[in-house]
Amino acid sequence: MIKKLVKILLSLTQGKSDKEKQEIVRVFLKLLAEKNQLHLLPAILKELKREEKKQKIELILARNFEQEFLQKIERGVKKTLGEKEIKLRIEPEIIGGFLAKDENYLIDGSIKGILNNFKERLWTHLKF
Amino acid sequence: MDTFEILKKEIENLELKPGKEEIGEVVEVKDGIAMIAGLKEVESFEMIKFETADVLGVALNLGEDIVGAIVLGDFSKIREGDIVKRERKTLSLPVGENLIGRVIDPLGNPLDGKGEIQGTKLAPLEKIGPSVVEREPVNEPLHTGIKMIDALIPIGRGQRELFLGDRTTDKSNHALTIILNQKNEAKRPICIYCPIGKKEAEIARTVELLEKYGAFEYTIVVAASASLPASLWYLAPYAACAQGEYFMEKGQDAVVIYDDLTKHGYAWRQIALILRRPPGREAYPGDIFYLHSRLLERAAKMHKDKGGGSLTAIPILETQAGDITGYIPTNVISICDGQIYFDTSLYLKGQKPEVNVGLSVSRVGSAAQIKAMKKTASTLKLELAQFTELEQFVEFIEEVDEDTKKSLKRGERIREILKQEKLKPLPIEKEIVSIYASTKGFLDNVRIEDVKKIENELYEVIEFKKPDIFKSIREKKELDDTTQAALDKILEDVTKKYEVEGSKK
Repeated sequence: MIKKLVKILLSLTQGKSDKEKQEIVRVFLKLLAEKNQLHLLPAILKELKREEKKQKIELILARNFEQEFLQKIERGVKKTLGEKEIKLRIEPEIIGGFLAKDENYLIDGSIKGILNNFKERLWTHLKF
Repeated sequence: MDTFEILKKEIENLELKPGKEEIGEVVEVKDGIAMIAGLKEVESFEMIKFETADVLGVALNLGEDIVGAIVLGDFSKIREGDIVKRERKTLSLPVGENLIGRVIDPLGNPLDGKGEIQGTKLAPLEKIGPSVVEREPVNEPLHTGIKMIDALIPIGRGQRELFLGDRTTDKSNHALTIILNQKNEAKRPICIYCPIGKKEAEIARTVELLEKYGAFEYTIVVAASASLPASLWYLAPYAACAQGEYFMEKGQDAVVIYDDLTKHGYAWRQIALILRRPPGREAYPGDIFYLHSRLLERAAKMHKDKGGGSLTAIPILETQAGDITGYIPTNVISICDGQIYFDTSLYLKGQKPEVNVGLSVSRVGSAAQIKAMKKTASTLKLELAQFTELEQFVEFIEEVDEDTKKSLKRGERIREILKQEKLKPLPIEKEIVSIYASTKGFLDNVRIEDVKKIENELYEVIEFKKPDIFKSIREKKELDDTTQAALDKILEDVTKKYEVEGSKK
């Protein structure tokens, strides 16, 4: 049900100006309150965030790259995952390289990924 | 190859180019179940991997944008937002000769601390059983070593025979007796014991018992102990079946004991309810019948052209207060080729094994008996049934005629000779001699208390004086005239000593 609500809310607000959006949300909240369903708000918020995430590509880097190089990566990522907004995040844990993911796919170009892969291949020598 | 060379080779082959992978994200974790967004292309029953927690899972519910999966292991480490990757293979485990004498979990990991297991190949857990043309009617006996079962409710190789009874009965021990009895069988089947939801101490005790009797050298234990999550309880019988199937496909015989399928049903009910599948009767999901039928249909006697192997299934079920008309019991009874019902009241009366002959049946029947047993036990069931009826009737009458008295006497002795302690299997030739002695009336004139003593003495005398009798029955599988004459003579000699004075011949 929450999914439906979120979908309706998003389709209503699509292409509208900020003022219109505010009005839609206000009416929506009023409706929720009238129907005694305000307790659904946290779940609706969570679902909205997920929907928002679907529209974006998350790009994770180990450290800040030079602008020129970054753009090169972004171009490549957009080529495989489609034209979407890119959100940048720094995560030293991946050691080096980059990780790009959207809802369904992950492009792993990180040193951590390579090392994990290497570890798994060594394991196969021990296991069936 | 030494370690250094392996390292060098692997480093040379290392893939440095970034690859595109299909992923999903954990939205919700419930008891042993994870809901995952993404994983668009995932297939039903495909293995998936929870990256950060390093646990495997299996995709079960393929929804429009949410995938429901069972977690195979510790689900407490999985967090919302964790990345899940596709493994691109169906759930499978290593099978083969190396697993014999090992204790494994449903995923093929060793539990006995004897090191890694090298399987011959990987076999899928879920598989459709052999088709009609690949099968053959059950025609070879699987000797259980329990007199009552071998004589009255014979089990054949490739049959599915259900053991059911209340929790006080010795179902598991009777099933283990079958494993112990295979030790000296001519064409020894590989035995697979699959405890589901049993206490770890109990499993350890079973393993110790099997080791003590030397039965572990042809047995595999696929255990899902009580401490494991429901997902592994659910998979255990399929894993055990896959182990047995390997040997069947090779043309060998195998026996799988599922102990017990009630717990398996509970596990599947739990998973289905958490996955929000609609509950049906007793809150079991709609596919609870299919759950057990697809497992038991994998038991088969293969056609000669297909190697002639067999997989015998012995599922165990627990009944509630002797009610064999419960939901799961009726389901599994209708799937199996017969059932053996262990009765609490008989158990308390001291009749062991506590088989209720009236409610037990083997739909394969005497096709699963050797000729000698067929001959000696043909009248046994009828005689026993008549005796039980008479016994109840006589309780209300004071005077009975001679004929009835004789029938009663015979019946009492037959019942006595069929008694047997648990975990003490008897070879088929000894079973035949005992049953022959009782049905032919050799014990009619001895005291009931002496019957057990006579039985043991009989075995000793035959082994000492005429071992040919045992040998002939074992090898020819028949009770020919000369053997029968020799047996009659020995029986007369032995029983004469115990005959009560004044009793009529």
